[in-house]
Amino acid sequence: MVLSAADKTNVKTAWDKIGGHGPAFGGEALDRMFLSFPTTKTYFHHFDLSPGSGDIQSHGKKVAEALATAAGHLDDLPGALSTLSDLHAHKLRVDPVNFKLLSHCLLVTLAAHMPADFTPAVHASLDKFLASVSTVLTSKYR
Amino acid sequence: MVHFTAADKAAITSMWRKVNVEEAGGETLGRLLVVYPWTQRFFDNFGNLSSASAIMGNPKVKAHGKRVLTSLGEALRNIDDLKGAFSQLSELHCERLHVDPENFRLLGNMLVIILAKHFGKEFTPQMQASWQKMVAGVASALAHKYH
Repeated sequence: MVLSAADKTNVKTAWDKIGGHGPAFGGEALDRMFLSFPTTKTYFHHFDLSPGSGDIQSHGKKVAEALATAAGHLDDLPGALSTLSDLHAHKLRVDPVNFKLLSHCLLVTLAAHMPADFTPAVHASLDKFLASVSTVLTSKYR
Repeated sequence: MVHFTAADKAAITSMWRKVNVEEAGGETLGRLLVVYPWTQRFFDNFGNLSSASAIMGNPKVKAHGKRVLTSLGEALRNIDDLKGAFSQLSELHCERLHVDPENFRLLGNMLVIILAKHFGKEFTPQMQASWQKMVAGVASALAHKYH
């Protein structure tokens, strides 16, 4: 799967519009994921998982910052996400199925907060972007 | 098997009452075909699917989307027996339509996204969780008769 020039434009534009809301959206996506897909909580048994907790907020911020980095380096996602990729492969070892679940909840969050900007074409580009990020993060698993 | 609490049922049915099935159906199916273009494989006779705007404006897409969501709405009346409610449709999708059940999961998630887009803040994490159960139950029911 390749991000077209149009995809890249859509992703960068969307990320500009998200602006300072990144951390809040990241936290909300995690809240949504833990409620809708309880199996994802198994990776966070050390967290306070009550909705909107400090743990979830700070983790949401990390996720948002990583995605912002990715959005700024669409021509070299493996390079930009190399450290995170190592982390997920060797330390976190989150089963690949879970990346789809978080990606879905990120899209739900964006759709809820930016409905006018979330056109079908932008939706498709963001879905591809999140799938590409997920692929990179699981690329060193074996 | 999916278990719906009283709170799930109340949340799902109250939101469904506010959904324009015709619009939401077209939007949901249209976006499925745009975001996951390989799903177009089932709709060779639908005419122009050459671009996002062609797909979203295609009258056959809108009509079929409406049909699918109408069926889902009917199933809401049998929420405690989705497998029974979808038994014949399951056989149809396996034996005649040859649709990989993965597509039901994709469509279900697409509906969740459309609801979020339409209802915004009202589509709380709690509401989403109830709807994820719903679409998972429907997808599972539609796959139940596959062989």
